[in-house]
Amino acid sequence: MRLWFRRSDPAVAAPQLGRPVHRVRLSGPRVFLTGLAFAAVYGLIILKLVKLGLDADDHIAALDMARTEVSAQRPDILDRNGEVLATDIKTSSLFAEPKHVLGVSETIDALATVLPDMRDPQIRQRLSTKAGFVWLKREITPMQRARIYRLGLPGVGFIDENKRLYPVANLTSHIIGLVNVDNQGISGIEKYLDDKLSLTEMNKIGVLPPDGLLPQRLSIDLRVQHVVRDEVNEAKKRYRAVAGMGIVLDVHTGEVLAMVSLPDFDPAQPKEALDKENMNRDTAGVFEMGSVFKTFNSAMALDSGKVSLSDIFETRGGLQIGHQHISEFHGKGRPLTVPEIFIYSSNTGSARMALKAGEETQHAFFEKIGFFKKLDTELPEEAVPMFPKRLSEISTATMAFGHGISVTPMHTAIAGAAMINGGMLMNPTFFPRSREEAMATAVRVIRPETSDKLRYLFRLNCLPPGSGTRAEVEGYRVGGKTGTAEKVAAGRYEHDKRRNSFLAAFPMEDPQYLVLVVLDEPKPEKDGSSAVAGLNAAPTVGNIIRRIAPMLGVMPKFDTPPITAASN
Amino acid sequence: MLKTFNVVLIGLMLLGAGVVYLMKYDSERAAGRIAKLQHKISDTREAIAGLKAEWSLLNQPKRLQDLVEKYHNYLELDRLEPGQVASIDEIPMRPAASKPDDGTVDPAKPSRMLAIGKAGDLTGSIPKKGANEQVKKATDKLDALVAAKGVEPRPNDPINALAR
Repeated sequence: MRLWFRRSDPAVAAPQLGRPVHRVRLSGPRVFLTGLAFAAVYGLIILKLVKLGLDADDHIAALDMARTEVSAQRPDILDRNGEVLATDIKTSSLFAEPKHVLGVSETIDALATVLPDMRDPQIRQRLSTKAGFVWLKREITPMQRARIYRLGLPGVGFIDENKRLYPVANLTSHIIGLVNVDNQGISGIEKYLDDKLSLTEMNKIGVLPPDGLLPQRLSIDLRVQHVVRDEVNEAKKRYRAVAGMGIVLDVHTGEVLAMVSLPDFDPAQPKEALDKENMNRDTAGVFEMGSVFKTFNSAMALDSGKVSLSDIFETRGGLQIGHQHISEFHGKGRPLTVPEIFIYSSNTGSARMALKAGEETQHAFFEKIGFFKKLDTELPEEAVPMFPKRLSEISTATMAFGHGISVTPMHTAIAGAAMINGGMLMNPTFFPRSREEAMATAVRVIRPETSDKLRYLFRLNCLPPGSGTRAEVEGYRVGGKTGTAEKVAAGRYEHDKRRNSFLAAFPMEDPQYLVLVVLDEPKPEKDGSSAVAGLNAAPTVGNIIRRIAPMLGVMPKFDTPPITAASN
Repeated sequence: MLKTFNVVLIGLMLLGAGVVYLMKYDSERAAGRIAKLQHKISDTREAIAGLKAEWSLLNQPKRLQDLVEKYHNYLELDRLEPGQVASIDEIPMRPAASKPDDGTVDPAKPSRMLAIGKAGDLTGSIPKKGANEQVKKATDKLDALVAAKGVEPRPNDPINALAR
């Protein structure tokens, strides 16, 4: 450093002043020429760079487009025990960059050894263009991918895509819902997750966590779901019903353990989901539930304090209100007590109970248990109940036994849970929830004493001579209410078309789980026998409870004391 | 003095360059290894996800139920009845009269355990002569059953999708 500095010191360099000036003057043109040569070379390089940049632009952009258009990543969906209900599997899609393809015919011949449909003239046409990027085939198998990879074709590549797989197929299709071809949820829990986690937006800007999304656990128990579907399907076949529904709820948490609506669809065949027949009847269909409503009518009347269990109501000769006549379905021909009205399913008796309690009381009660508004669950498919807008004596009388008001089976199930769990109404949920969490949002709809009476009535109805005797499973103390509603066709009630239901719970001395089964238009099992709910819906519930009770850890008891009338 | 200082500086520089080169080389190698491992991790993750999907396909309740029904003759698996469920407290204590369990059984008073051992034949803690033959017989029976009936895939079984 110092040496250099000293030499360029002006004092030392002064005697040599003449020479350098002379040299610069001489070499001027040479330096200029050399500079020009360098400038030319750099100019060429810059031009080439610009050209390369412009060239590369279109096909890289096309590739980028393709990458963003491929399906988004989604979280796995598990049942409450961790069984997989929906998962992403990686599939590969084959693309080509025609610009880099050497010989269209040779490439097609080679590809056709793995994928015969590559001989399609359309593919040839697409490859012959000068486009930067073309899809050849979406979703090929890993095996095909490996074989094409080994062909070593230039200008042919793969993009990994996520494909949604539903391993349990039809079993949970109404709960899980569907995704579209870009893996965006369009129905069921899939749609709910999209909205909740803003999956579409996250995928668009690419901010997914590197380990993927956390799996989402549902409240559904796959085993219970299977049993319910199996038994409802069996019943649908045996009684030649057009549709069947089944719901299992935890009465203390409002968790949905199983929800089945038949006919259903295979999520691998999304077209089936569009068929109206395959709709989710549990939350998106409203029906007149029929005599099952006597559960809510009894609760309303008893809770109002105007009716007690020992009250006796006239049931002979039906009930005339204006032009309308309410008649008995299984008439007993004598005045009945409140428990008798329940177990013999007396329409007239129920109507008289409702009228004694009052129109306003009934209206307020139905409003309180959520029969006048949409459900609040995670599913996007929810129907609004239909009910008379004006109060009248006749609507009060018919709503007492479940006619003139249409609600979804899920409305019925969750309100039924409130009737026997001590009187607390909560939202049904498809995600796990503890009792404490459920109680935090639950509202009291009947007094605990009334709930006790309802438990007694439920249990009584499953013992002879109750209408739900065929639902009894030895050891599990089933209780429930039958419902046989006539279907409306062309504005009239039809006597031979029915919708049968059975709303049950077990074990009745401390109810844990609620089971609701609805069969649409069941036919008699044998000619000559009847097709009332006690003969088809009730045994179906019995079969379900027989299989799910051990799974849910409900211990059978065989020495329960004989049932006693609840104190009144 | 200055010269030595410069020589030392040059030496240090060379040494520094060498060390930096080695470090850079090492870090590049480590980065390469990290990339490789990360690739392997993501591959393995995908493989696990694939296997999990296959596992749940094979464990569909409907499929298991169909298999149990199809091979009922061999498996003899029936649905659980409420009467078969009991808690440990409900099992009565062994009557005081019977001998302590020392592995020997009074032939005059055949116990319940022995009765099961006789009926089941395959159960029993003492290895019997011919036990292996019995296991082999059972395996052959299953093989024959599978060969005779065949396990044809169901048309709508999603497992077909994976097997393509």
